[in-house]
Parts: sequence; structure tokens; C-alpha cells
Amino acid sequence: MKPSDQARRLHPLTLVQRLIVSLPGLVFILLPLFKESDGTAWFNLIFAGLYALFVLPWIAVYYLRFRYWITPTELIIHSGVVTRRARNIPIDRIQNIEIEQAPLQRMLRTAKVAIYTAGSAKAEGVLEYVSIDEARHIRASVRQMQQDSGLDVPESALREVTRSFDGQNEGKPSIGTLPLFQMSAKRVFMSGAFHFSLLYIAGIFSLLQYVEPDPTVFLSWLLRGPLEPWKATIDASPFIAISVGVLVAVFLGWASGVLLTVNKNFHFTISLSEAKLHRRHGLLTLAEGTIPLKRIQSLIIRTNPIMQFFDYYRLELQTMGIDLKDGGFQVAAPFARRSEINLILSAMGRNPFPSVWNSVSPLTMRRFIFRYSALLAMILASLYYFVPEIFPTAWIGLLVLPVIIGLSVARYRNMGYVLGDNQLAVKKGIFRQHVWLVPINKSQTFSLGANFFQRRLGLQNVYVDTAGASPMMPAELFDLPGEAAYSLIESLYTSFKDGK
Amino acid sequence: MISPFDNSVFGAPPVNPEVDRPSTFDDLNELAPQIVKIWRLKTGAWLGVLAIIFLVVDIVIFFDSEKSLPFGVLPGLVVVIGLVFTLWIPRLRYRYWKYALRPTELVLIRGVFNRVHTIVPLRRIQHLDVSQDLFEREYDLGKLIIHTAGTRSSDVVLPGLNIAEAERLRDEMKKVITDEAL
Repeated sequence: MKPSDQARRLHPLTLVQRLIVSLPGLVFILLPLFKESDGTAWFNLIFAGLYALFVLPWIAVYYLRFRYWITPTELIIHSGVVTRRARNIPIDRIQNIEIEQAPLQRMLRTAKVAIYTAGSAKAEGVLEYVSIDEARHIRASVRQMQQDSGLDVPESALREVTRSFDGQNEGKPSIGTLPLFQMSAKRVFMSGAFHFSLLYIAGIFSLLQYVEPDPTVFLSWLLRGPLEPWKATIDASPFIAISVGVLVAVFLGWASGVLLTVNKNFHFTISLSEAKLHRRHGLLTLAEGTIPLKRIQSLIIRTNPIMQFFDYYRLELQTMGIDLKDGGFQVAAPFARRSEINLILSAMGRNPFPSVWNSVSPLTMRRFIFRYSALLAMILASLYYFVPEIFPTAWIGLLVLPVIIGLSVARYRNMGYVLGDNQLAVKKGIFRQHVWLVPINKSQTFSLGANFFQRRLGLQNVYVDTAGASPMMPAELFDLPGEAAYSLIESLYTSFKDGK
Repeated sequence: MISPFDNSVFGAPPVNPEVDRPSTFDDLNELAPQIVKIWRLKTGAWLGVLAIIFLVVDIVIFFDSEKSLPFGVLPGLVVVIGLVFTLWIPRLRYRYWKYALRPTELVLIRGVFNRVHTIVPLRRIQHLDVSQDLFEREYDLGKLIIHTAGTRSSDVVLPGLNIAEAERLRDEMKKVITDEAL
């Protein structure tokens, strides 16, 4: 079905925006021209001319070729200049529609609409760009059609939500406007400060390399003016110079992390209406997304020892459409207190964050110690074989043993599970602590696993697979005592069968 | 907290898995025995390729004075280890592969070193494939591939079924697939 009379085009300002986006390429081609005008400059000019000759018509033809339709069952997108593509996205397969506005789009009142479906890591359909009103209209009408099609069963979730909100403000129908979680500017800044990523530091290091290969020259630039007297001291010792260089890079990495977080999470707001979560955030680039509650699979609460000490957590929603931008997850609260997380959970109709956990078998410590001691022994043995001359000092390697034991205890203490009302909570991790709240009615398969050694010790791993679960960080419980694992699987599967 | 060095922990009582595990894992079916031959053929083919590669390497370095191993040791080792994998492991794999189709779920047990018990609820099945490769066609076997929306279990493979049985299972399971939106 294709009602061709309703064909829609992108916003005409798309032409302007695409032109602006293509400018950096032109500048890059002309760069040698600005630097020095020698004999080869004409070549760049011709190249730039060719570029303009191809790019400008391309932008226009792409715009003319791009059409989309919204029918009651499908979203149809026709695009492409040379390779023409017709894409039909069934309305009920659409998981998430995200509206994004970079500064330029905010000035022009346009937006990018990204449509995510199940089973794909990328946005299946991207409309670049439509007017912001059209973007909101698309989102609203798709959601409306999804509800009308009757495939949706958000009733239970809806009921829960209404109930939990009714308790707070007596029978007010406008529950949707109430934000569940908001981040103040101070909170955003703090989340950036805690978001200490080695990635940024590495980036800064490589940038420093690129800008100025010699750190001492960089330092003398940094220490010009009133700091001049320090320069002599630093120049005198290369060790101090290097440490100062590292400190500066670490600081810059940390600061850029703060800036990026502030840019991304500024005014982070999440609210709930009609069984959908609405999320808005961003300083320069405004992003706006809607996640229907029934599309949400597991919830993941992450923290690390430092964040936990200050009572801060991060809540992520595992959805079907794997959004690469957020590492496969939608962030529902980047930096929140436990109580705030519990508020969001209860609004979503989920059990609160558990505080009492069942632990796995203490034998898991023994297995961990054995495994890593064996690894250590192998490393030491190969050291002995290949470089025997350093071996007397290699005994220092044995100091790793207490570390292994310490880690094994920490790992055991941080691993736990709680079987709740329609929810399995799993907790794991020493430095990067994860809590998964797996809704039992969203489980895909149930498995028990035990290798040769685990079978001899009567231990079993328990894993409940969900759609969109991360293959790198699965919510797998290790080393449960056999009977506990069996009864856990039994009760999980019984409750799965009893639920819808 | 129990200390990890506590004797009672070190000498954990043996568990009898057959007694405690959920009853759905009892009375499962075995695969068709011909699958052992297919596994042997496939592993054997790999073994042959690997042995030939090592043999060629051995011949190339035959006159090299610095070689550390005498002629034929490496290919021989490959053949001996490979024979274990072709003759013994397929039999163990067969012995531990069990499956059953229940009214609401498909149950699988598999694995020689790492033994996995899986319950696949039938209403979670996204789609089903029956496939047959060159070896399987020779023995009238086929495999049933069950796709779910999960990550680790996005495709559960049930090998070594008589092709008629694979098709029967597929048709049986097809009836239960609902178009439940995720």
C-alpha cells in the first residue's frame, strides 16, 4: 500500500544544511591554497571546482529523490541517487524514535529523526532533516498507530504507573507532565567529574603528540609569563618534566570528559506518560527520545566503588533496538541517587532496587583463586624458561597472590541474586558493578551451565537470556550450589509460564 | 561469611544432578546415532587438512640445520591429537546431547566439557529453519535451527535429527508460535 498522493519530502532547508555540512570538505581541498600559493595551487582549484560540480547537484538530486510516506501499517522511505532504495519499516516493528537537534538545526527549527527497530544496531530509517513540528508529528502518529493496531499490551504497565502516581497527587490525570528524574547543572557537572575515562586521556595524549611532539616545548609554552621561574626547575629534571606532562594530559582528559558530559546530559529530563518514557537532554545538540515501557527488557544499574561510596548510580534500559550510541542501552538516569532510581523503578511498575541479596557458593572464591594462580604460575614458569637471568627478581610476581585472593573475596561478595515478584535481580562486578533487573516475562531462554570442574564441585551457572542483552556483559550468575541453581531455574520457569 | 579455606567448603558434598534438577530435564531423546559418523567425517576432514599443512612445513624445513624437532614429529602429533578428537569426542558429544519437545517448551542438554541445560519456551520462537548439509544429506539427517530474540540463544541448533523428525518437530513448534510483539 502506497498512497502516493501523501508523499512527503524533507524540509527545504535540508539543502542549506547539507551545503554547510559539505563545506569542511571544500576547505580541506583548498587548504594548501591558503597555506602557500605556489605552482600547484591551480590543481587544488580545479579539484575544488569538480567537487562543487558533483556535490551541489548531488545535494539537490538527493533531496528531490528522497520521499517518505506514513501509512497505517508501514513507514516507507524512498531514497538514493545512483542506487535507489525503497525501505518499508512496519509500524509495529518500530522500537524507538529519536529526534535530534544540533545547534544548526535548532537555529533553522529542523530536526533529524532516527527510527530504530528490533534486531538492528543502526537506525533503520533516518530522516535528515524535517521541521521540528513534522518530527514530533511523525513520532506521535507512529505511536498512535501502534496503539490502535491492538498489538500493544501496555495495560499492566499502565495500571502500575497510574497507581503509583495516584498515591502522590490525588487522581490528577496529567501524570505525563511530571518529570521522573531531572539533573541539575551541578549534578551534570558532578557526573562529568566522576566520568573519568581513560579514552579521553589517551585522546588528549595523542593530540599533544600531534600538536607538539616535544613535551618540553609544550611546557615552555604553558609556563610562559609569570610562571617563568618554574621553568628552569622543570627543565633541569626530565623526570619532573614528564610527570608534569602526564598530569597536564590527565587533567585535560578529565576536563574534556566533564565538558562532553555536560554537553550531552545538560538538562537531562526523563518523564513518563501513557506508558512511555520521554527523555530529553543536551546543551548544544538537543536529543529527544521516546521509549515505550513494554519495549524495555532488562534494567541495568551500574556503579563503581567510588560512585557507590557517594551513593550515585546509573540506570540503563536495555531495549530491543540496539542503539550503538549508548553502548546498546538507553540511559534513563546517568547519575542518580538510589532513592531517585527507586522512584523511576516504581513509576515503571518495577520492584525497587534490592538491598538484601542471596550469595552464590563460596566455592566460587576457590575456583577464582585456582584459576588465576594457575595463570600466574604459567607466566612465572615461562619467564623462568625464556629469561632465567631475571628470575631471582621474578619471585616478586608471587606478591600478586594476595591480590588474587583479595579480588576473589571481593568478587564473591559483590555477586548475588534475588528472585522477586516477576523479576530476577543479578548483581556482579568488582570495579564495574552491574545490577540487572530481568523481568521474567521478558525472558527468552533459561539455561544452566557447568563445566567439568564445576560439575565435580556441584556448581551451576544460571543464565536467563533476554532480547538485546549485551554479549560482553551477560547477566550470568556463576557458581550457584547445584540445588539452588535447579530450584532457581524451576521457579523462574514456573513464574514465566504462569505469567501471560 | 564462610571462609574459603574452611574444610567444610573445600570438601563440598557431591551433588547428584539427576535427582535435583527440574523434572522437565528428565526422559529426554537421543540424537540419531549416524550423527557420530558425520561429526567424525567433518573433524576428520579438518584433521587431514591440518596434517597436510604440517607435513608441507616439515618437508620445507627438512634440510634446515637449525630445526629443533626431527622430521615427522609435528604432523604425527597432529594426527594423534586429531584422532582423539575425531574418534572419541564425537561419541562423547553424542552421549551427552539430549533433547525433548514438551507442550510448552523445547529442552536441550549438551556439552562434553561445558554441559549446558537450556529451556526454550515455544512462545519465544521467532522463526525456525530446517537445514541439511552435504554430509547430512548422505545420512538423511538434518538440523533444526530455532531463532529467538535473545542474544546468546539467538539461534539454538539441534543437530542430528532424522530429516522427517526435524520436519515433524518444526511443524509441531510452528503451531505454537504466536505473533507476540516484543
